[in-house]
Amino acid sequence: MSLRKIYIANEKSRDSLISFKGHLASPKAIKVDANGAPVQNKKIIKGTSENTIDGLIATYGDDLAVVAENLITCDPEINLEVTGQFLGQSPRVYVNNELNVVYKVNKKEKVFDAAGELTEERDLRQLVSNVLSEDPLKWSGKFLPIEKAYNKFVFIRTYQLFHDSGLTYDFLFDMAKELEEKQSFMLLGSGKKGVGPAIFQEGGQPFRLFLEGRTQGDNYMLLMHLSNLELKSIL
Amino acid sequence: MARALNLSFKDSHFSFNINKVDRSKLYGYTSVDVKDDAGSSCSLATISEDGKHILSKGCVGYTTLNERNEHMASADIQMKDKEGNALEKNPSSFDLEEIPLEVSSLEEYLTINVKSVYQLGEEGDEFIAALYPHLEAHKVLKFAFNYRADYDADDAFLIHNDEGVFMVLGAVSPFEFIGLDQKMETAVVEEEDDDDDFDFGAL
Repeated sequence: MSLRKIYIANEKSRDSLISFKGHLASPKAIKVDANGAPVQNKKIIKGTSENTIDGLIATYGDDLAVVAENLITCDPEINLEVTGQFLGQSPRVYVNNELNVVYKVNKKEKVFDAAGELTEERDLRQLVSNVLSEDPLKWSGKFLPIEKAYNKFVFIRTYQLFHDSGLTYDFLFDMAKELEEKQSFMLLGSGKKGVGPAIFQEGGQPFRLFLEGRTQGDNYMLLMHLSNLELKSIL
Repeated sequence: MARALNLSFKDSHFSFNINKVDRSKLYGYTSVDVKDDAGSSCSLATISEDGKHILSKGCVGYTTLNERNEHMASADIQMKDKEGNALEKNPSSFDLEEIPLEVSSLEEYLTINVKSVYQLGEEGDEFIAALYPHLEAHKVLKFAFNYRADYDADDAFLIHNDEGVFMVLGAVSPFEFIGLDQKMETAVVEEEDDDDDFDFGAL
């Protein structure tokens, strides 16, 4: 996984642009052919929209008997020219029920509660990334003892923070040391108090960030845990 | 009928149903309605590379190819490990008579990337009551979990709180300590935000 950047500030409001990286689990099992040579998956075209049932109805009308008759006589469900072609990076577009490209769409967001009841209908909420914005994500000052917090939240993703100079080494090492000594997570976040959520990508999901520090002599491991879920009963 | 997971720790045996925990069940969910100016619902489609065709839902698939770019049937695909040894599928965890639990640690648990979370048991479940003391003592217990028969397994961690016992599935990340030699840029402007609570539902 490649290095990404996040702009953070410590308890003294000293700030720095910091690199972070996670790990993607590599699969143990590899697909091979009979000779042991690796195989690959490729995206292919199975058919075009005209070949789908919606496309056939658009062509032949709603009477499925007529559609079936045409399936037998004309084979409109397959396009021999394109079926099986490899598909690379391709643009995505919106289409309407008639499978025509739509150039202007209106997006509404429907909000449902945990019971599945519609509670609100609103304009689509566009969340703006804030991990590299003008304001750094702040050390909130809220120490959460690990023993009490590890089973309150689900830490969906964990990333390690890295230094890129002697100064950022001190910056991160000191955070790790303090958190280890206090055996606590530190809530790192947006807003004046540093308790707001962090958003890593434009339109992405918001997460609470919890820093955890470990040290071994002069070495350190500063982990950033992302959470958007509490461990609560659903029974 | 839901299948049960049969676990053991020391001389105790436990049998649990599992119930998936996700944000929609705790906080609700959102969906986006996309319409054109005439009020007709719209959906996403792909344009073919030559720009001549619209590929709507169901028009794109995947195929497996060998080194000569020939299609391979599923039956001809073999699974090997990185050293080239043939692999056998692990059975589904639900098909095992007993899965022994191992003691883990908070340090290990706090390095996982989570795939899914399940709550174990049912309301008033006697096995939950029996497992609690072990989790009180050790905090985190673990085992290898396969929902279905598969070549790979997830790391499954059991933890508990006042709400119940939870199985957190994922993969442990091999983070390492780093020193000064293992290296790899600014003004603070405060914004108005008095949000002081931990509202996970608002995320």
